[in-house]
Amino acid sequence: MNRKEKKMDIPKAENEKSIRGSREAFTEDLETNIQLITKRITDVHLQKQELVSGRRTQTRIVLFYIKGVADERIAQRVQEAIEKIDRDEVLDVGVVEQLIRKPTGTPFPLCQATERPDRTCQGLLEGRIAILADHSPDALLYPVTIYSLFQTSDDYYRNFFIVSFLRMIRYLAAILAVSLPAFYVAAASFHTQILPTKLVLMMAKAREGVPFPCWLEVLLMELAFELIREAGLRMPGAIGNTIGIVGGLIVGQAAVSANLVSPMTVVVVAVTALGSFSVTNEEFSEALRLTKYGFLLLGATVGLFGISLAWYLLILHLSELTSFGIPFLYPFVGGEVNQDADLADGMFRAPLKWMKKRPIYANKKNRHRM
Amino acid sequence: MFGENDKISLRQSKRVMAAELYGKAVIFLPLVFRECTVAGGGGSLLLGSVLVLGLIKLSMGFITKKKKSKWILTGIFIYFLADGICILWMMLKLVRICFLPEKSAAALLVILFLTCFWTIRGSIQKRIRTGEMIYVICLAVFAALTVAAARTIHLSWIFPAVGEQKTESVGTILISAVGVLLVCGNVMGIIFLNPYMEQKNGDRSAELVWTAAKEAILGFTVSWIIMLGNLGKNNMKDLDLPVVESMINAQIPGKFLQRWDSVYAMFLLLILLVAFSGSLFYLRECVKQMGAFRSVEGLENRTVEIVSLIFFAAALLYGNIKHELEERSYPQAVEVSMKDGKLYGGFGEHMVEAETFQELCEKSRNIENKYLDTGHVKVLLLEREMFQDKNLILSLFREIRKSRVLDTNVMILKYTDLQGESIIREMKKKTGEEAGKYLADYYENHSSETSPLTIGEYTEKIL
Repeated sequence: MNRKEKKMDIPKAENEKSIRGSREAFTEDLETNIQLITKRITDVHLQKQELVSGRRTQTRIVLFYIKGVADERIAQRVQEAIEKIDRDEVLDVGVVEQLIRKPTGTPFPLCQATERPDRTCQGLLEGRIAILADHSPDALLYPVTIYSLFQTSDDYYRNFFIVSFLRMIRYLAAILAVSLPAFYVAAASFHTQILPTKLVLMMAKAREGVPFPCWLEVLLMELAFELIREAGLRMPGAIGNTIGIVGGLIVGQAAVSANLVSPMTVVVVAVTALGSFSVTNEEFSEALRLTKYGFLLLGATVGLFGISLAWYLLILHLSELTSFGIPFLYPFVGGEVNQDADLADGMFRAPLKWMKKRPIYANKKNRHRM
Repeated sequence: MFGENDKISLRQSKRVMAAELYGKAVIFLPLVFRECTVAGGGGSLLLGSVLVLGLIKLSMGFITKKKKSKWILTGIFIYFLADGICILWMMLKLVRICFLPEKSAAALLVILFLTCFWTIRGSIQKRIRTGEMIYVICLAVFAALTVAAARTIHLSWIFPAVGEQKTESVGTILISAVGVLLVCGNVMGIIFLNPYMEQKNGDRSAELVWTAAKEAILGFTVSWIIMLGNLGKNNMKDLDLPVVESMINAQIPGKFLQRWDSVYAMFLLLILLVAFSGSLFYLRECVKQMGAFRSVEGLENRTVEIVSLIFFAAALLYGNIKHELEERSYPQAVEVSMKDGKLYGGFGEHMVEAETFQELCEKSRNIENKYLDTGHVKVLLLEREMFQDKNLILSLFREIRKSRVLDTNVMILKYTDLQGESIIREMKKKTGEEAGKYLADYYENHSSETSPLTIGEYTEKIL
């Protein structure tokens, strides 16, 4: 009876939808979540360490890793970091993430949060460490690298040609999400010569009567879009979805009709939004959205030169980040440490048969998959 | 963990060293070879490469030696200081002519200061990883450029016809070879990378420099081909900054983006920024090893960070472009003739007199109601009689190229003087279309007719 009821209790993944594979998502009950992992990985080496955090909440936190596959030094460091937490309340695994992250001064995620048990198990089998907490429907995977933030669980259930193509689209989407508005403003304000004459004439005609300068127009539309997104997110169920679609359509159309913005700006903002939605990891997508404003300001101030500088500063910043000792930009930098094997599951995905090595964060003595 | 131990692997060091050399080559070699013909340039490159590899072989012992004399360190300091200044100068020049021709340097300097500060702050890993990322991206772009450039290289440049052969003196070849050697002086950076390297099987830095230099020399050849393909063999002598011009003149078929120059320049700027960060890093390490200052860590304190952020905010508040899209006019043709020994012409609406082409553009800009955006000019109409005075034409085209008012792919057409009347206006009356657009469309649609020469082609021919 219990078995059947528990199956019914498991919700479907809402935030990380997939085309193929399991639809299951974690619940708010830690025991159920543990079962969702142990039913997938029956290996006796699967280690489960229980910790308690939060002086007043006494929240149970579970650390999972596969002995011999995961690097135990990383597991040890994660465990120590959790043990050092000294707070009254740890109500969600998100609190754990905030308290153990180093460095704090970055909007980029230094762990991978997932609601999917199958993604968590994939991570464990790659040698990562998973953290689950009571009352929290998410798991945290450590360490994280930039390429893992572009992966989805069904990437491994589908043909590698399709997956490689989709991954390229995701990388392109991330580039668009960060720099398209800035590039548009720079091209329209500073470097009109790079655009075809017909397009420039059309854009100039469309901007006749618009009271704001190009950069302010884009900034306002981006902020309006953020408002719609935030409102849609906070509104209950169906109303939220309606707000997203209707808000976008009405605000865009009305703003163009009222000559507040030009149609080109609406197109640019819409493509940028699509780009940010195509990035599979929500935290990463949010960080890119924030970075976009920096790009926009630099692009609006000194054109393409500003965008070059912005990319340079962004790469400098990302180069500094590490997640429990693993460079965030790995394997694009330092890939040779693991004989560049991680590139097989980076921007492209090689056929599963060829992916014989585990990623860099796996135990050095056990990097060969069986 | 390897990401935090502030150590760099041998392969990482080799890659960065080779990339740095290649980056420097992209920047400096066009300047080094500007006086050479194709054969002479090839000879200099070969001689320079032999010199570089020979010197590295000879100084293997010195590279691995732990203690360096103060005099040698001072020499290295001067080298990297000069190197940094050259890169900074090139960066400013690139920004001035490619990105911000109309803006003052204030915002630019502030932003550059900020970039430098963020560059030298932090661990060696940050610098190495940034170099690894940016060089890989930029090398891919430059590889694409090489392919694009290769199709424009004529065999006759390498094997000129009898009578057209030019030879340069041994001195020129030697000077260029020494130039190659100076560019490769960057390998001295290994002295400062050495303390950060993981040396599991003894000191292998000398071996690393040797391999990096060999890879870089291959890169030099690639840069040289790019330059040849984009500029042509004769044009280089006349240029202040060939690499910048080489990027500006790069053309890719297709009209999705009409002029890619600014986009290419973005990648060149990235290379310059990384190369500059390299020079800053080596300078800092050199100062540390010389013990001239107890510490240069003071540069990295919070006060400088705050000051930088204030500067950055000031740069952003400095302002925006003054001319929005709708406030510009986009002429597609420009006409020039001679009147009383002065240039006479304009972009269609008004005719002006001027001493130089740049002055003519400035005067036209002041008369027009809207801001004159010359980035879309497709046709340069020159009065037929002007071609009789070779010196006049030569100086006019030199000026056009230097001032960068017009793109190099603008077509040149000759016309007969209309007694002071504007040919552009006359054509507009007759065809009902903008002259530039009409003529550009005409030649595009009549492929059987020989296309007129462009400014780039014509300049190549006459210089």
